Amino acid sequence: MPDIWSIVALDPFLNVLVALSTLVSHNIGLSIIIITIIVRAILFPLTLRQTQSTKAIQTLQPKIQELQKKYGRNQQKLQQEMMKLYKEAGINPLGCIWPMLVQFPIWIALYQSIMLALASTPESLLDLSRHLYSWPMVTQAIPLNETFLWLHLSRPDPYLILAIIVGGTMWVQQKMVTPPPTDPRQQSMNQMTTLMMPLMFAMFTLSFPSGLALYWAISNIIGIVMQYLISGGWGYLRPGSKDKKSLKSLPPAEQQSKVITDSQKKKGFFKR
Amino acid sequence: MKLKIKNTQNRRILVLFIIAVALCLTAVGCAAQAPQGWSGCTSNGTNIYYGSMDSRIICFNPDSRGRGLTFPDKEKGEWYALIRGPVSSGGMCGFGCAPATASKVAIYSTPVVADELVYVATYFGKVHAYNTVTGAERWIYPRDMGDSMGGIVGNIVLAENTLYITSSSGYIYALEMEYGDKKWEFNTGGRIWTASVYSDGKVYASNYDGKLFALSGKDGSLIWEIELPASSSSSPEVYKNKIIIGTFDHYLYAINQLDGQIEWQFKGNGWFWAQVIVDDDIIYACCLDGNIYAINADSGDLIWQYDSGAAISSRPVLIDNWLVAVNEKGDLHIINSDGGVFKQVVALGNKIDAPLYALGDIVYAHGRDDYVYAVDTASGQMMWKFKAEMQ
Repeated sequence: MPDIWSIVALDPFLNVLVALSTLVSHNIGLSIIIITIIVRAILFPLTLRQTQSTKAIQTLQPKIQELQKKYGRNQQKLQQEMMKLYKEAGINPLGCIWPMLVQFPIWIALYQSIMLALASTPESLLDLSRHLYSWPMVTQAIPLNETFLWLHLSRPDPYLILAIIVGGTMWVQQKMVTPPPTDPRQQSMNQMTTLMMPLMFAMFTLSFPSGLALYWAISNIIGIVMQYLISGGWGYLRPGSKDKKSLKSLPPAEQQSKVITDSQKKKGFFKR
Repeated sequence: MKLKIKNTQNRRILVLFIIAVALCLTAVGCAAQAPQGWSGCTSNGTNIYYGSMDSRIICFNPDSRGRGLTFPDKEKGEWYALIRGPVSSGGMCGFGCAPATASKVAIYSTPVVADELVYVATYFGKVHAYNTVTGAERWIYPRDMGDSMGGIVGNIVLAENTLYITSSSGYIYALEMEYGDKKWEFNTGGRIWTASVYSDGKVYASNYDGKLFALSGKDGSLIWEIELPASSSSSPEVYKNKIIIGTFDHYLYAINQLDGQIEWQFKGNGWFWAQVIVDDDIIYACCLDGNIYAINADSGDLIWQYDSGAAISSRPVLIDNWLVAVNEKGDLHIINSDGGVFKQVVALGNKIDAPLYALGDIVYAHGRDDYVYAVDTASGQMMWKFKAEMQ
């Protein structure tokens, strides 16, 4: 008996992925790329909202730090003042979370459908049959052609190429959206987090099927492009070479405010 | 750049974060299965042979198993041989799957017995020949440890003192049966996970590029090649100049053996995964839609169909007038082959993908739990089940 998750999420993604491959010369690699682009495009409004919420909270950081200095010993008062600050600024502190929650099951479904479609073993090919619709475009596509460029998509990349792409693009994406810490004590933590995730996913790429790593790489590249368009630049990765000298002379909190203000002035796809 | 985390709280947060990411990937990532195998059983008339899921070829005596004696009962000629695979560099999907040093060898192909040798092919891409009485390995092909023919999923076909083997590499191999010398090989250009079939001096095999080949059994030369409407999902069977083959577009095709022309086609509601059996001009085809179809072999017309209630991936057996098939729920159905009338269902309780094997009235089914179930079709009772524990 198929479960609810399969009916509602996994099977639709899987069948669209397989059917798409029929349109692109039975190439599942191209199909993975196309569906990743489509899903990210559909979720773009949510991504935009999440980014805007995150940015809005970041602009309040200097004021939040002032409140923390003032009311640090009185947590209750601190919370009250922070909520008052958010309210005055018209910001929902949880505004960056719910778009992420909505996107999460979609990414899981896409992830699982890729793993299922690749059907690297006879058992998995047999199990795949339970999830396929009887659309002619789907039945004609099976079994899928798993070669794409130098890759066998059901097996890990034998070279380091995908691992470098996945790790590198993830690092760039993180650097673009992560502001420099205003608190020097947070600097090492910040550096560790920025490095840890890309390194971890680069290592996973060496072990997971390359079809999945391809999805990660494409998703990261699209994320970088979207972030560039939203922010009107490279964000915190390269906060404007002209301003670097003047930026260094400012205290950390003001550096951050200046970076955000400068990026807002730049011509972006979406001006705030 | 100093990477020391001086703050204990930050360190804890970082560790929890990494664990959360790892758990997420484990929870959602293990959709890719490690190969397990689904070898069926075969016999030399006395003992039964099969490939276990812990990489062994097992020889057991049904009488000893029925009496529950300790395995192996050497007086009854029971033995087992461990098939060693390569040292794996490690593979995982998430953190819970195949360990880095596993060298397990999956066995999908049902062993074949001829004279004093039993042959077994593995997913590691090797064929092994063992003495049926002692279990001593006679030969292995390819002989070099690092060489492989490509993962073998389809059954070995034995005809005219030759073993015909299809592999994931797209090759069809012919090996001489006594010493395992290669006679010829043919490259089909596409992955093959189904068996070939031998008839009248010719070998027929299909690959996942949707091509069906007819080759000379003697030297592997190509006689004809056709493109099927879709890739084959089942191993072909030959009956009265027709090659009967299932495809992924839910059809069963009958193809003229001489010229490769499609004579008729029959549509199911799922893949015909199991190889058909044919008897007395009737084709019995089990489908992943849960139905058993009895089809007229000449015209392709439906004679009767029987709904087993769940997908059938295992090849059925015919014992006199009784057709025995098992579905993915582990329900073994015994039905009358004349009209598809239900006689009995025996609940084995575990999924069966391996082809069924009949010796007299007893049917042997090798389950995904690696147990072999013995069912007496006359009484409709499961007699015993057996799993060869590693010692």
